[in-house]
Amino acid sequence: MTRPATQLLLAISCAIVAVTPDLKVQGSDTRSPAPSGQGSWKIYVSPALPPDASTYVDVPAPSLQPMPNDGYAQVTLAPWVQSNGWRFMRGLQKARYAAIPRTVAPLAAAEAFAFNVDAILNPDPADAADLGTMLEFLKVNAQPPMPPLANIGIVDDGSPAMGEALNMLIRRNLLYKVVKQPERKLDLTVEVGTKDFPKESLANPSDFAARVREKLTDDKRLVRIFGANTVVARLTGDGTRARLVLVAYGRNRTMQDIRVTVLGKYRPAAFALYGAPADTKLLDVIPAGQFTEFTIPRFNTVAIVDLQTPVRMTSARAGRDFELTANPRAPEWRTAPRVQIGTDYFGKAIAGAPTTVRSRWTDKHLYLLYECPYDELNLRPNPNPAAETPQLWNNDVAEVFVGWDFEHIGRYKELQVSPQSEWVDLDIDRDNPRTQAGMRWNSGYSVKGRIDSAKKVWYGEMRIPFSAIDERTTPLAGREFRIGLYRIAGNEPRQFYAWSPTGQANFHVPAAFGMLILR
Amino acid sequence: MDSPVDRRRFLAAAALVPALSALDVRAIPKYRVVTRFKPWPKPGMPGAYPGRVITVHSPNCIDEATEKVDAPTVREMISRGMTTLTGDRDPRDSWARFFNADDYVGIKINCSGAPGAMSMPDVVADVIRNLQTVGVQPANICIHERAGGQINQARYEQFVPAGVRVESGNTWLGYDPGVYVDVNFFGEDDTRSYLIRMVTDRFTKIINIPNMKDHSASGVTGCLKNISYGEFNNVARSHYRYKTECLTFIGTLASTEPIRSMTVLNIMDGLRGVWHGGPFSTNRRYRFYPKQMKFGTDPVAMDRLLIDIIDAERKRQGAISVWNVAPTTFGTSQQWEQDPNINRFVRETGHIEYAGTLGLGVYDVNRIQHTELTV
Repeated sequence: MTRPATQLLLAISCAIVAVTPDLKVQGSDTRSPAPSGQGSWKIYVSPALPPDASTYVDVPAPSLQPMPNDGYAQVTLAPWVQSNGWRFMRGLQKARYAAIPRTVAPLAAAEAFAFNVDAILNPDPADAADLGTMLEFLKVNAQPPMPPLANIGIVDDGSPAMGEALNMLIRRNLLYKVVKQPERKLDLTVEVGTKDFPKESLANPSDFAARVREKLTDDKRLVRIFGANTVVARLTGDGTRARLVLVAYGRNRTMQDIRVTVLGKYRPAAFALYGAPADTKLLDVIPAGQFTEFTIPRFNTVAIVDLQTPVRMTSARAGRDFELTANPRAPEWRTAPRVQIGTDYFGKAIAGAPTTVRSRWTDKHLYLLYECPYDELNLRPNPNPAAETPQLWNNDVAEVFVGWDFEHIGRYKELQVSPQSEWVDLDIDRDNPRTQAGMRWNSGYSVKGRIDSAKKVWYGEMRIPFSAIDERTTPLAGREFRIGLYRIAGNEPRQFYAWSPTGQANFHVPAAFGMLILR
Repeated sequence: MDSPVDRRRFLAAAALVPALSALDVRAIPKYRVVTRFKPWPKPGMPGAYPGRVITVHSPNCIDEATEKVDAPTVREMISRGMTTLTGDRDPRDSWARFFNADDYVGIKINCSGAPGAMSMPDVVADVIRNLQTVGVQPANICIHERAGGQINQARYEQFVPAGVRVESGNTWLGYDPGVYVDVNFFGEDDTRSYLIRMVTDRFTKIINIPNMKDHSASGVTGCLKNISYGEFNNVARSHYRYKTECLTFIGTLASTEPIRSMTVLNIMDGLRGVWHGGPFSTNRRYRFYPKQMKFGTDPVAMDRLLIDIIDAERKRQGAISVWNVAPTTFGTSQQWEQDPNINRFVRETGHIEYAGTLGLGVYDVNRIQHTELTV
């Protein structure tokens, strides 16, 4: 320990409000503050104990044990993770980590945090500083708990053998919940004694987990981790949001470039990586079919990723193609579904009335109408709507980025309209910038801009041939597109409206696109 | 074999292992190849010269006692090899058939046994000299390897012009999440092998410079294994206890785009080789000196000839053939290291023939146009 014990204790006690730590080091003691904060999760650092301390159940310290090698080639054997996750999944809500070896206390705290259980920690005094740092991190990132997400139900017979099996499922990141009887909503129910899971199958937990995985199939796994076999995932969610907590049990608990897939279409909204530099970013976020994939760069012990389902917009079918009017009161637009844009690309609210975007579609075209309230317009002199206008984005403009290829989200089209009916369309391929057509590409779309100076609103309408933006067959109701809706407005400071914030000073972040659904 | 007990234990265990024979017919693993790259109209492998292999011998290329390489001799070997391969008189014309000033060239070396077994720095240096003659800038050349620790031991930077990068997947750009081969071999949870990203982000062409080595799992390791296991991560999972899936995995990785299209030239460094204990063999007892280099665009044809070289040396040393997978040959890793008549995996030397069936080259030795020269 490098700091006097009393100073350290104060630091930790002040930092941890939500988790109520209390730490006795070298004879010092402080009183626990009352548990409070955003989460229901609480950690007590011995000897400060909760009134119901006697109800806490002893659990072993989390650890990693290398697999014994008998001398024969076994290069693919994974080390043995000792996680308490299975105990928590079995219903244990209050855990006492009675004996924690040196350096392990932060891991124990992270494990309890991940599974949202109350815990009493009895750390090695030498870990005080590290534990304090971890508790501070967890406090900052605590949030009200959401239900655990699982698509496997395990009918638990309470046997020790079943406990081993549950442990193995945790290690393999086969996300389950313990159920009393089969639940229809789950993709798989595991009940020992059935044809698929005879009693003998419990004899070997590894084979049992493999059998569960085979029955579920990898395509239905809620979380998969590539690049590490000592990381345990915990996923919670409420339908529109999800939180993924990864706990690293590896030898020094430092992980590098873990690739993660989460079943579902999400976009990362926030993340926190313990031990990572402040400027760390999630990398290579892509939707891949029904999954969302991303790379978590270097972190230590615990990583937290908050996910959100993408924003959605529907486009209503029109009976026939129609002339562009740039008029929201036109019959085609009066009842069209719409979305509003009131934030910039960082998600920060933009003052004033929001931008409204409506959409219709026909067999041949996708229509968009932007309604853009303004204080001041930034227009080009001598507009020429007859020809493409390079760098139109340096003036007031409304933009759509649209792509159909969910496997290659870096490929999409960018189309713009200005208040003066100027236009520019571009072919974008962020995967292969050297081969993208850029401005050479021509969509054949039509635009109409109109300025209502009295109301200080300008309107921009686009009619985009589906053949230019979708390589699939004739559009059908239910078809989905990846879409970004943006607007650049005014003079300095210019405003950069983004329907789905990108988190960067840049619209070209395809992972942040929302969804357009033809209705 | 230092422990009869161990041997008995193995034999008992071996009886439980279903696939202990190369003759076993087993299903090809279910591969899922994910890539955004399309094949070139004429992919680099088998390239412009399918079935053609040029071997250049030189008794003076390396001193067996000191293992010092004679750089002028290497230079002459490479010039003769390349001109014979392409039919040009001037080496520059030969190199210009493959590379130009617009290229960013990745040089895939092999240094998994460095410093005792690796692509010789003198060879790599002369390849770079030739690239420069056709306008490739040093800043657009990258000597690379998948693993970080190994490449540092080879000290390539001491042999090449300033500006040439010496990198690994660990030190530069990492891995490309959009290019991988997904397969479940033995129930492992991590089923993906990602391609190193410098290939997809930076390189326009690759020169493959393997060396000549025995390999405990793949039988031998030459062009194909170097460009597959050496460019993708998470490949050791293809070996589990006595089994290995090298048979199909190597060819599948090598045929994944853009590796297949981008690898336009193979130069096999046979100045020094390893006849047992590969790929990481550090025991000098197992080194030998073929004193040759092979040139071609067809990795299958080149590796087919490599089998004979390794097997001949093993025979000369009294070791079992790379084709021998009899259950009685199996032992522990320690025993395998000490005894060249011990296997630790069911060697899958057949991976080369399998790669041929994927269109990567010519395996039939009767159809290989093999030209041998001595300088």
